[in-house]
Amino acid sequence: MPISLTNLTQLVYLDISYNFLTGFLPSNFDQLTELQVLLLNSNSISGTFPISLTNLSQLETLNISHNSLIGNLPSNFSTYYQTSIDLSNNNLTGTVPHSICNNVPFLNISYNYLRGPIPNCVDPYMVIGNKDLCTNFPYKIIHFQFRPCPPRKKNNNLKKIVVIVLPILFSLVLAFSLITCLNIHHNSIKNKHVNTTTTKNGDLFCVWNYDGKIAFDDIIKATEDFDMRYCIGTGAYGSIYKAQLPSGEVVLHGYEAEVSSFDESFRNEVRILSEIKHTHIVKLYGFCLHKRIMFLIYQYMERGSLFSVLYDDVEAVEFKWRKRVNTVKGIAFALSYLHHDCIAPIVHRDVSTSNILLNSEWQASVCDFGTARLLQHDSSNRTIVAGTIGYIAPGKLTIAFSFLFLLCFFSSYLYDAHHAYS
Amino acid sequence: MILLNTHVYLINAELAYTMAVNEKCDVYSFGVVALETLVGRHPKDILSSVQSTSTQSIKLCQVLDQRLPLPSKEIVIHDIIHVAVVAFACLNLNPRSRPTMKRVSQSFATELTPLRTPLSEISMQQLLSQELKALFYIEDP
Repeated sequence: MPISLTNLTQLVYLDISYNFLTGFLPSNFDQLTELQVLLLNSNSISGTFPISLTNLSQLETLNISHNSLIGNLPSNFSTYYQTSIDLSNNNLTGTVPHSICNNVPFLNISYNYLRGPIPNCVDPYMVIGNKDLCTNFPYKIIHFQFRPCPPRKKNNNLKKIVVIVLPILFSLVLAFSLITCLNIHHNSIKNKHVNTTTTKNGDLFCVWNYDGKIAFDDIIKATEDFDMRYCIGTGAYGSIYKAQLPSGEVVLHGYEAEVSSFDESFRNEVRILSEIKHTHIVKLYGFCLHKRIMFLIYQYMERGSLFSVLYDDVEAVEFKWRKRVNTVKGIAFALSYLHHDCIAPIVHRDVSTSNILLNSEWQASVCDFGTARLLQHDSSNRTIVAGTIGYIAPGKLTIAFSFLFLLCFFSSYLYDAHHAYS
Repeated sequence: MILLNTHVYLINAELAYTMAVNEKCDVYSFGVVALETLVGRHPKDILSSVQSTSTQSIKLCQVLDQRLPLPSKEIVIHDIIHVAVVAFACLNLNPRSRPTMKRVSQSFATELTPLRTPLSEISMQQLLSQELKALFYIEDP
């Protein structure tokens, strides 16, 4: 970009988008005091975002998307009062400054390499495609593929709050007790307590004001700390509990922590289920991943597995032909979606009657993605055999048997040879 | 030694196109689940003898879940035959001959003119036949 461009001090509208411009942005943009629209998108501009750009008071539209900008976002966006800024599809790094909440009504910073927590005010669509951004909202984690924020940071914040707030509260309470009588003091505390509990909620089905800690407390309360009375079955990696939460019934699949293979299955399940959504695939409402406790939260399917329905004479009679046909169709639609409608095809690898769940209306959902695979077209997808015996395609089993056969043959051959020579 | 060599060859042939994880493994498992839903139990006996001529003369109504009365409505009969034909197509031993799940779901999503054949006349052989596969659009073009 020619530096002389910045000598055009009366410039109002500049559109040089969709070119092959390279190099850095000039640092003295603040000379263009009249500039209202600056379109530099879809070029190959490198370097950092010049601070001088934040000083243009007349600027209304700034688009530098689809370039190769590097470095951090400016921490001070104060002058962009009524500006729409598009910095998407660059190579920006660093964290998202909280100051953008106050100053920039429209800031698109999607598809960069930003990391750290997402300020609450930011529309997730405007930061999508930044894989290292994190949030504590399960909804955003699931739908926009952000990471969950590490809990350690939250604790630090909590600690800070406790350190600051506690002495203030303490002194306030002391002052109150001295000045006012005990009764008024008591009421005020009560009111305070009520206020704090109503501002947040732990409703898993609701995004607004969601608080994972309250949800966690609800779950612990509903299952009486994972009491055996609430256990409704066992999966490959742990027990399955039913919990009646204030917002509805859910199923919890607890994982025995500290075993690496379980951990892999857990992450696999979360990774795949959070990327897909289908009527006939079980809904994952959330998960808890902690050193001591790991569990997944699913929708509750009243009828249990297809296996349990088919092998229970009472339920099998209730499971009429039309319902059976619809169940098979549902499974077919789910698998077709997994194989053909996802960005990377997903192979379930363990389709069996135990992994098909039925709800009260006999609607089928595919579950258990612990062994599922995302297929990459470029790499070979060779792997060890997974699945339930009786449902694995015969080719796979034959390999296992052929190896066994070969081993037997070899041993007998060697045995004969040994005897012939001895 | 000749036998040993054939085995090595056999293993390589198997490895060549079945060790890779692909969608066709799910298609086979889906076939088992679909058949199990109709039969009411794991269909291992049917799976092991599906190619033999004695099994092929067995009628579909003989293997359907005996705990339920045989369907009487034409549309339900048609649907059951549809599921059975799809299931057997998915159970093809050659992964390449199995339909894709897209084909299967399209077959299920298409409105078809009901089959007028009585259920008692449908045999295993017919379920494996090309005509019924073509009728239900599950042959890949």
